[in-house]
Amino acid sequence: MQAERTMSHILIFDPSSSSDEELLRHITRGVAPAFNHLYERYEQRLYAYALRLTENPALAEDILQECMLIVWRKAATYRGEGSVLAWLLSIVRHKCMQLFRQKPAESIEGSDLDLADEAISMEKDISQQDERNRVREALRHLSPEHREVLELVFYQGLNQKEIAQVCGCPLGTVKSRLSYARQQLRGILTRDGMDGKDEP
Amino acid sequence: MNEHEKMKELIPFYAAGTLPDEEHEKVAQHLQQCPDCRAELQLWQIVSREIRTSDQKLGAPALKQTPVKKPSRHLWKAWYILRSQVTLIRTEIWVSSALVSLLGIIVALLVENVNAIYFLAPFVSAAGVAYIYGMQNDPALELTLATPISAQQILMARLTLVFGYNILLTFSSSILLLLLNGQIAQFSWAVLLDWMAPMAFLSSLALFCSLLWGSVNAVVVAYSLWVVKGIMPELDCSGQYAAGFTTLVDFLNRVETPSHLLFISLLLFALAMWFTGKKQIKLLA
Repeated sequence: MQAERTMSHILIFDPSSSSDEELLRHITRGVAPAFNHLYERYEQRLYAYALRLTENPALAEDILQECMLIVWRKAATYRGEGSVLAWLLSIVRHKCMQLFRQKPAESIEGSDLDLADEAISMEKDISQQDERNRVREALRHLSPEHREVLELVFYQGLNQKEIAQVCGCPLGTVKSRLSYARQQLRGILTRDGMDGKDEP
Repeated sequence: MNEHEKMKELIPFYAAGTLPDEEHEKVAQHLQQCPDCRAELQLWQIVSREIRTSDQKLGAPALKQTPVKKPSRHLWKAWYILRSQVTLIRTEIWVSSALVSLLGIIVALLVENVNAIYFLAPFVSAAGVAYIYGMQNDPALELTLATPISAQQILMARLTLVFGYNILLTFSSSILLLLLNGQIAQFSWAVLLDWMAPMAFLSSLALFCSLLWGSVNAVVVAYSLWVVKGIMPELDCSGQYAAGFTTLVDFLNRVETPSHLLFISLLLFALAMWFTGKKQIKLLA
């Protein structure tokens, strides 16, 4: 009876309309389409996060592949304590930290990332380009952990609790990192005459 | 922390659009009356735009291949436990079981009846299973139990090995006899179940009794029950224990079908597992 229920559930399974949690449940049973769909859903975000942490496209790609391998093998270990995205990001982060411990110099040596330049070349509005240049420069002055929190807030769309879960730090640390990042950015942008306060 | 500070903390999440409706509304109201927070919002909006725009340009690589499920870790662990227990089981069990099976083949050949093997099988298996566990059969048991492998896992592994070995012996003996007698066409899975069920029953009974009263007593109890069951129809039930015997005969007659015997075997096995767990806690306490 149970087997029949499971079979029918698999037969009527539609990955595109399934929630992240449902996809993970199917992955634990070895349903490959569920795995592919989860990858399609989050590949870009996970890769962007890995790339921001490693600053090396080749390493980021390896980490993404390893992360997905872990998802395939250990989907059952997801306990539903946070969102699936937060769980995936914490795996990416863990793999990055492992890599940094093993090869601390590689991420710096192999760095060939200047992705913002590509984006800038697409821009036609010169004033916008200028603004972006200055913000980008300000972001570059931030330490990796402060930049990471901003990535998790603005690109990954996580809340404070989820960020703490991904970074493996207390909620207070997330708040203080965010506050420090704000002070740094405001300092740099005010110096460049681009602080929000100066605008009407 | 005053209300303004609280709201200020939430502004990045307001800019990211990830606040729950209620909080979003509160921040929006606060922003209308607080120029400081409006400037804060503008700063975060600029940052948010930059991060989103640059991150969206990052194209993820294609997945190299969908991984194939490897055999589960549980299977590897089960295999490891089984392998580790082979050497810890008393050697006499393997030898005596093989010798008795050989004897069974000889008797069956002499009486020209393959049933002799089926009659002996439960006795051989019960004797073997009665000696798989306990300090008297494994002096290093206390040491073994200190490892991460539980007592139940050890018991299950040893039972699988000894019971499986006996099934294999009986099965191959019966096939050999059928071949020698030219009766291989008579082989059927129903016949297989007919001898396997009593074997499972007597083995689980011996196992359970061995945990309670020791190996020797377990063999005596299991053998006595099986012999009594075999000779019961000819037994004179007029003595002192007549009522008890009659009840026992009735019970055994009712549970004679293979499915009943297998069910009782499972029950006894479950009890044995439960009892082993309790015993381990006492032993390691």
